Amino acid sequence: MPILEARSLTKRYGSTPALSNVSFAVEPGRIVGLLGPNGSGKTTLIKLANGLLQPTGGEILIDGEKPGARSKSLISYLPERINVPLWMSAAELIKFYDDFFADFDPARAQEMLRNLGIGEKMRIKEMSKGTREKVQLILAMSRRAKLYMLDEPIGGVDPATRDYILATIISNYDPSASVIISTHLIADVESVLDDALFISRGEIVLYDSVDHIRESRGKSVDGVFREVFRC
Amino acid sequence: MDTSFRSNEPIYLQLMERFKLSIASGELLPGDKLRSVRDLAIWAGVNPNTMQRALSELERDGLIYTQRTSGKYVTEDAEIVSRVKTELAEAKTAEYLRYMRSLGLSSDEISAFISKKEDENANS
Amino acid sequence: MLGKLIKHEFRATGRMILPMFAAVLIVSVLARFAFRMLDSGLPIFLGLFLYFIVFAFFIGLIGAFIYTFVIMVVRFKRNILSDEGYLTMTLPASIHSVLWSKIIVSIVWSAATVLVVGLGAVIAAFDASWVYDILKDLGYLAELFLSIDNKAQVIGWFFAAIVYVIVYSITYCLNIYSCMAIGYGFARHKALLSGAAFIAIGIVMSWVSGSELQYLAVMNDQVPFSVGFYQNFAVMLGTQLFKGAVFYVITWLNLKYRLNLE
Repeated sequence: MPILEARSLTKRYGSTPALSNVSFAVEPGRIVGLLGPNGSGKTTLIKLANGLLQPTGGEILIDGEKPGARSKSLISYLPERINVPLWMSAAELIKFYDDFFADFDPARAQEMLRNLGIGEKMRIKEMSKGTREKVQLILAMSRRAKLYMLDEPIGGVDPATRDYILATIISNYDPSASVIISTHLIADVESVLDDALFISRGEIVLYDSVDHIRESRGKSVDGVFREVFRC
Repeated sequence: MDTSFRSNEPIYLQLMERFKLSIASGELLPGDKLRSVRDLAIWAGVNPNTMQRALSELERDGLIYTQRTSGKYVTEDAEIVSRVKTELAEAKTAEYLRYMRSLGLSSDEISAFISKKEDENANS
Repeated sequence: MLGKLIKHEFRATGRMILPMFAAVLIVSVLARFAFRMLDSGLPIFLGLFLYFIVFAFFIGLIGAFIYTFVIMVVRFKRNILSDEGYLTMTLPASIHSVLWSKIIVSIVWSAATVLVVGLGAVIAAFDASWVYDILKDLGYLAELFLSIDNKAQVIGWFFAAIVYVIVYSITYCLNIYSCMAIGYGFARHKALLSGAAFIAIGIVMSWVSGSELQYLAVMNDQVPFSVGFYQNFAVMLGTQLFKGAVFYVITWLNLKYRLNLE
């Protein structure tokens, strides 16, 4: 069964369409790039999967079920925003995640904090924006989830951190879990992806394996992206 | 970790080429144990499935073999290693010749370039 | 999951509420000394200082309730309707659990505020002679209670009153939440529209309350209070439960279907 499946998924804000009749499936063990320009519907799709929005039409299924308490225990979601309470320290957040998410591995989170040189006692509000983002990523990647949904995880981070994030995604690889990375920085993530899902103005324009795209078009995914979304 | 790949070719093919070069040049010796797929994927900065595919293809070509439970090893068959070396050398030579020919150079002229460069390198 | 949510809710709000409780009690102790020293002919600046403490004490008693209320509102906005909502609303819990954890903790803090303010007042005004008076009063109450025939009925009234206060508080809490859930479902002017929702809902609900009072008046014309207590109670509780259910559904529907976090 696919881990994530959209069937004729449609979302409108008032009369503005954000997603129009989108259908696709993500099988276990895939690392999928959700690629598209800003405002193409990437975040809307991710929010729908996380139950933060309700579809106007069609449905989105996680492990065969509509978003709910169970799907939320399967998805590890990294939003674009800083979503953790600012008054908490990294150590307190680890406890919080450990409390709420059965699949959370505190030892792994502590190790990653050490690797990135972030003190556990430090409060989120005392951290720089970049450090806050790293803490959030660490928390998301320290779960043993079935589906990771990372919304722009490498936007605005330095190259060394970007490498660390990508290495974390690779080392975290689990054949029974899938990863969805939304980004417009394709060249940076291309070598990490199995599949590329191109989304434009709320519609899927291409969904194929990276190898096949390169083989059939003689171009990198980044190159194809630039061609598809030429201004 | 080198994450630079040519853009016009599947990544697994480029990974295969790197392994072949390592084996032909002796960087990887016959019988050497390879690291786990996960480690190799992190090292190369690629998706584990892509690394797995490259290794499977190499295994099909006989360059590496899997010993049940203990992992993957570089072939101990000297003939295969020398064949890979020949293949790589031929491919590079063909590419070089194509380039030189496109400059309008004759075989003699090309040979002269090679001898000259070799002398320079020997003297330096 | 509800237990975990409540535990975390207490931690998140307790760090703001408990210092306030401590402050109220400290000011109460200071006010106690201030009250005693005021009439003993002090230099003017010290007298002013004492008046200031007494003033702070009275402000503190009222302010405690406002503070608790504000914390309740801010917590709901911050934890569900703003950036933290991305985490709160993606915890493996239903919206119902999230909502009830907020309601329960708000009610507990409100009750605790009543107790702390009461304690503060007692601390400030307490006198040793009271012990005697209180014991005497308690004895009198006990005597009164023993002298009545229908003891079970009085106990019943007492518990009915407690149930009513709890249901009333939950409904009030949900009234506020529902307005915010409506206001924050809009793309702009969220706080303003929450206020508008509060007024609109208030108008509709005053009609419900009006009908309730009218009904009670008609009913009480026909039956004496001692007989009609539970009839009154049923109507009043029913009205609150009805309002509460409406507010709950409004809140839930808006959080589930209309909320779009930025």
